[in-house]
Amino acid sequence: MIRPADAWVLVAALALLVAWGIARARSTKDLEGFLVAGHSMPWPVVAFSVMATQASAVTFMATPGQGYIGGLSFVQFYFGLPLAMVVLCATLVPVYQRLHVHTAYEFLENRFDAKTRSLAAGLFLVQRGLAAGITLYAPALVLSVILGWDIGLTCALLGALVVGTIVVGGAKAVAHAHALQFSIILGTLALTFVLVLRTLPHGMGFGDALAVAGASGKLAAVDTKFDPTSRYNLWAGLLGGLFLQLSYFGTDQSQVGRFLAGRSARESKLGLLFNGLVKVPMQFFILLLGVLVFVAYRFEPAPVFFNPAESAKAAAGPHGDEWRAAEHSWNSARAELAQALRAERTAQREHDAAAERDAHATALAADVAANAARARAVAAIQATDPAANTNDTNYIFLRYVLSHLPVGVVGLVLAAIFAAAMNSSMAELNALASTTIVDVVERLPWKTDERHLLTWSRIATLFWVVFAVTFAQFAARLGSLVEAVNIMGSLFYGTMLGIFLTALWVKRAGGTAVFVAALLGEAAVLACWKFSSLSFLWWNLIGCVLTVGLAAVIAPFAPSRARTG
Amino acid sequence: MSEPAAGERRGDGPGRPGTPGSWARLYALVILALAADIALLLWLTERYR
Repeated sequence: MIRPADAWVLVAALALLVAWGIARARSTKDLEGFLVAGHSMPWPVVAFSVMATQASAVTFMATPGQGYIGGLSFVQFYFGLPLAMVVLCATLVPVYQRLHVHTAYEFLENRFDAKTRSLAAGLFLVQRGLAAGITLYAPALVLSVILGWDIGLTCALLGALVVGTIVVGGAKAVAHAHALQFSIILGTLALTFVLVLRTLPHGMGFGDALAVAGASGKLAAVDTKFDPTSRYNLWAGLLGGLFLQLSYFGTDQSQVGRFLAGRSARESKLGLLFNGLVKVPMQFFILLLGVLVFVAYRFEPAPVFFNPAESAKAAAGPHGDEWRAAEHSWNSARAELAQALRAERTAQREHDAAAERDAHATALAADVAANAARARAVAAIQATDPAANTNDTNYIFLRYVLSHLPVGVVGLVLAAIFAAAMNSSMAELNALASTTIVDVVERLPWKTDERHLLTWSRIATLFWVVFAVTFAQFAARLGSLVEAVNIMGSLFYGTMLGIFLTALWVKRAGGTAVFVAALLGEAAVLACWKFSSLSFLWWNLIGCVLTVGLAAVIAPFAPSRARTG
Repeated sequence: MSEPAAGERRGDGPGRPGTPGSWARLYALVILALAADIALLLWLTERYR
């Protein structure tokens, strides 16, 4: 449970975030301000807003956990991002700015036809509408388990925190709120990094910690072997990651809306390029934070399973004896491991090669025994509840923070997690409202003046907040939906990007050619998902290349209404 | 919906970088920084293997 001082820090930080957002929101008086912040933002605000949108609460909680479990290898996922920023700045950003669009999908009607715009906008609304619910649900689930709060109320609290800011202020409020929220997140991460270093065993420096992590394979950051079935390697990160990030930043309105807020193409491009410069180092440090938590836990007792709710269920269930036996074995093996690692360090300092070898062998054996005990504990959880989530990555960092960091800092970390949840939700909900207004309401046969459209934009935002909170309540009872919705993003991004790249690069392709090509490309991606073991990063490349290639082949045989873009 | 007049605020705008050459240098900087990141990570991987 949370301590009173941490609760006060959390409440104060949340009050500051909401007050800041609403204060900024009040300056939004017109539709242009609501949809794209009146194209008024300088590049640092664009950069922070773009980065804050991508860094959801789950990213914030799961990335250190990923570092704990898999080491630094996840950093390769971001290798394609700087390349994507360069490609976007050289291609789509100038086009969007020149055409004065408010959503990415407006560009498609200008270049192709109404049906292509509707296809892309429809895909976005369905996919992002469901994802908005998950964006609220996923962090609410972890926070509710760790803090003992009700999941439904936690979802509603997150929805309530964002509603005032974005319903009143739209994109302008989102951009300003992002700048403050992301500053809090980065500051908290930096502080946590220093504090975790201080929790390492006495006399152990940063270099010693790296040596311990390296001995366990946690510092294997780059894998140069080409293996299409391996999720993270240099080539999947560079090529698959390039297409994934291009799709996300170039065609997903939750990101397009952020950089369209730039006061000129120059500000938008500088914001994106700054993101390209700092993203890989930033993710590296967040993963390294998880690696340091791993090192700290090598020298002290660690939970056999980090999700306390699943652990309690297993201990109280019909397989409780197996669980307790596994937990006992784990504790013994981990105590032996800590002792062996200390002996190894002493032997290293005294240059006693024989003692070092012995201690190393003992540590290896203890590690194997501990891993076997954890596998038995996970089996007990699964036997108790076959639907239980046996992945505890999201809980590792928070468990560590709650049990090791000083009072006050815990509240700050929790506030940063709430801020991250608000970041991504705000961007998504504003993008959903913008697309609803620009790509649906404005195209209805009856005409509405700007004042009414602004009111409709606020109503649309409120609708999507209510939809997201309601869907989050529903998702709480259907855990498998979380995975399904996450997979859905990668299923559609490649095809979406293919449509946009065809618009730019295949001049002779018209609406019908790209529409048919997109349907065929999407069918191929769905086939990859269903019938192959190809890593999901490659789906983006396949969907995109097929859509562009097929559009070029079909173009001479299909009626064209191609315009200049 | 209010649209800004053509050219107003929406081009590269005043200030630098604005010319194609200066953008090309910025793009090269981002790609070089990525190459340096990967080289450092490869070094770390080998150093602690």
